[in-house]
Amino acid sequence: MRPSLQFFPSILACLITIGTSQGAGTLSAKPCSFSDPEAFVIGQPFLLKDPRSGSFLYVESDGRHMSAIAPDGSLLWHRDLFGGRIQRFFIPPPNIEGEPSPSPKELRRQAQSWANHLGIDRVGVEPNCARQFIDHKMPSQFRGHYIQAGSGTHYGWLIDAKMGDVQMETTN
Amino acid sequence: MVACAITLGTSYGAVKPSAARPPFNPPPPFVSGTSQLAGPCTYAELQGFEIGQPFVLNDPRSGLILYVESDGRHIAAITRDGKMRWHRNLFDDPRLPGLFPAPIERPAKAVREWQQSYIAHEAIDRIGIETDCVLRLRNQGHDPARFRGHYIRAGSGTHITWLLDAKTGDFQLENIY
Repeated sequence: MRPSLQFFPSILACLITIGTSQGAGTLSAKPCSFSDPEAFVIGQPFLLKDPRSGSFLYVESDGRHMSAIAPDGSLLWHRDLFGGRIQRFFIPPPNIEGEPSPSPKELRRQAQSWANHLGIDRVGVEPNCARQFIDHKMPSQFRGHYIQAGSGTHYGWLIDAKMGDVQMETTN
Repeated sequence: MVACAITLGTSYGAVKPSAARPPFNPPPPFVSGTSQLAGPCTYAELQGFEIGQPFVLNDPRSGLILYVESDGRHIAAITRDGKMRWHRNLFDDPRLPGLFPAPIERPAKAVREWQQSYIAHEAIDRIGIETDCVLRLRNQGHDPARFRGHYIRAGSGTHITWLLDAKTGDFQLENIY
């Protein structure tokens, strides 16, 4: 992940301001805000209808697994959102002066523990205006069917509804 | 319960059938499908799936999409317009662990722990839609207020099968071996 993505909302706000004040034709005159993801109870599933891909996104009750189901009832994809290489987003705790630095093995253990405890508790569809900006910033595997999800107060995720790919969007 | 109530009512004569209401004919006892139906009637072929993977089943009777979560314990029903109709944990029955005796004699507390651990490791691994001929027979033997005919059968390992109503999400243990 590129560090600049963590500050993406503020970048987006700046871009919009520049666009409207200078009257550039490529940007909408209306203000563009990120979606307000809908929160749900941990331990309960949640169903989101994605208007862009037309599929139903089902967050399983463990808060980690997500499936995309087509309206005809076929399973499009199923992912453990925090499986795979999610540990690469782990931010190690700051090193305390005088304390020995954790070993690489200990850091891997902390990263794995962090990944094991992740779960999403809110989800929402990104608006089209935000999508225009995200398209310029995200890797090629994200194809524009953007879903925003969050874990607690610290982490925001961007999910591609069509492919199930996950990217960290914000950390607080 | 229905059969019991009917027996009590007629034997004591407490309830006189109304003149306007036709006399109630109790359903015939459950017999094999071939004796009551034109052709042979078999139970649904349950479709097995891998533990740890979700499974989607389209129920043609209710029109709902049934989703078995990848933990193999939860089932949800989704409408075609993207609403969740119900969500159930089939193992969420406090009586369920008590139905499995411990393999060896142990103290009561150890038996309870063993039973709970046993159930905690079980998962749904097959599901299917009951055939229409079985449906007619089942309607005679189940509580019509809870089970309305959208019958789904689910199984866990070789020991447990459930009968579910796809529309209401009500379920009951069908078999325990």
